[in-house]
Amino acid sequence: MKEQKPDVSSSQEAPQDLGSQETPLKRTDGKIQVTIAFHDQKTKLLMNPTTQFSKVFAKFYAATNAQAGTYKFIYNGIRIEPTSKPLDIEMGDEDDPEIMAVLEQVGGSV
Amino acid sequence: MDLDAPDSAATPSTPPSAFPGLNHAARLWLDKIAISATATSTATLARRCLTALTTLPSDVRMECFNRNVHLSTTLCLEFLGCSWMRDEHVNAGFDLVAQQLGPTSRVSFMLCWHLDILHGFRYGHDGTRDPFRTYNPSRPRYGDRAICLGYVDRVFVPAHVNGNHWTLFIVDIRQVSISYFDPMHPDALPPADKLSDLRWWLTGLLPGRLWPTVPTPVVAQVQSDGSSCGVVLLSSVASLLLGYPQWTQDTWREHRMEWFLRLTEFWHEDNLLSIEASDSVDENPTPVEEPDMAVLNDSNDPLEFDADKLDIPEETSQFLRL
Repeated sequence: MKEQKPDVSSSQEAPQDLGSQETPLKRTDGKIQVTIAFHDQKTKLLMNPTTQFSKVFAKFYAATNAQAGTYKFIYNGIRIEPTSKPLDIEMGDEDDPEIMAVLEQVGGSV
Repeated sequence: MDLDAPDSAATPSTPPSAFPGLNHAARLWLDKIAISATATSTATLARRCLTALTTLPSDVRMECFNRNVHLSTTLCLEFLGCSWMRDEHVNAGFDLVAQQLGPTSRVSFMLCWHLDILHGFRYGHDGTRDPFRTYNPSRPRYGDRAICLGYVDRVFVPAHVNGNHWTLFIVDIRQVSISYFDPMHPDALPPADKLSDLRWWLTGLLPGRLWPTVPTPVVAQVQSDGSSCGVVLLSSVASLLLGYPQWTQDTWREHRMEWFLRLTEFWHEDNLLSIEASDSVDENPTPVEEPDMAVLNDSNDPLEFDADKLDIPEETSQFLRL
């Protein structure tokens, strides 16, 4: 079955480059482009397949002014460990891989 | 942003540990119960928890659960008191139930953020995707494969509603139905958006079915306090599947203490097993090629999974071969 994915390069919104206005990031020098999606906000990053995700998460927290640990990061339904790398989860096999950031949920009901 | 480019952006500092404060509050709560409880069993439970606290380390991840669950010893302390339950508590509690049911169980638990992920996947985070297209991930996701292959009879899907309340969807695969359990409002209708996303997911996995809603099989007293919904969910599911005592409003403290003890004792047992396993490890083990997925039959023999050799409906097998 043909995979259906959002076309990042043709998306209406400009890719967020955490402070700078550049053209959409694409693979260069063996690096992969990773998108972190949270609601309607998309953050694009270039990373080495052997870089630990903890570095990505730290950058994301810094860029969004969020406290560390605020989000859980999910890729293909599996939670990403901060110590894992794109190679570990076969992220490099996919075009424009998208990580979903999910806020912590707390419930008691008043 | 290029992560490997030189950059002076500061890494957010780690917040100070909440363990000492939570530990202190838990001890006060338990001391009060141990002194004032009229039932001997309740006082005994409180003393057992106090004993468990003496050996509980600070800020250690409890790695006895599946890799999606990141419960720490610090978060576990929140069972001891009136704290609201986080997704980590609910995920860990359901994973404990799943592990106690064993590998041959035909019950599956989805993670707390499953419905949120589905919603984002269906509509796109910016609302640009076609919500009427079929559920079709690039790869089968957590729990999908077992449902497609018919290894699951019931799926429990926690739902976080109104930003402050835990409820539960129960999917009966055999009966092709969905039920909804709200600990505080037993007659509440399931949230339409979450139900729609759930049906969309199920229709993608098992096409050609309608998934009507039916009354819930979960039995529990109605929650009347403002903090117990997460614990009600855990206790009610454990009661349904493992025969544990049903949750009642009068026993809310006991249920919280029981869950704290179950989780910490399970963690300690798992640690002991890990130490024993590492002590007896073969220094020159023969490499074993692992299959994509293993399930256990009645005789507990592992069966190698091969989607191409199974008799699966065409549309389902197409999904699995992605």
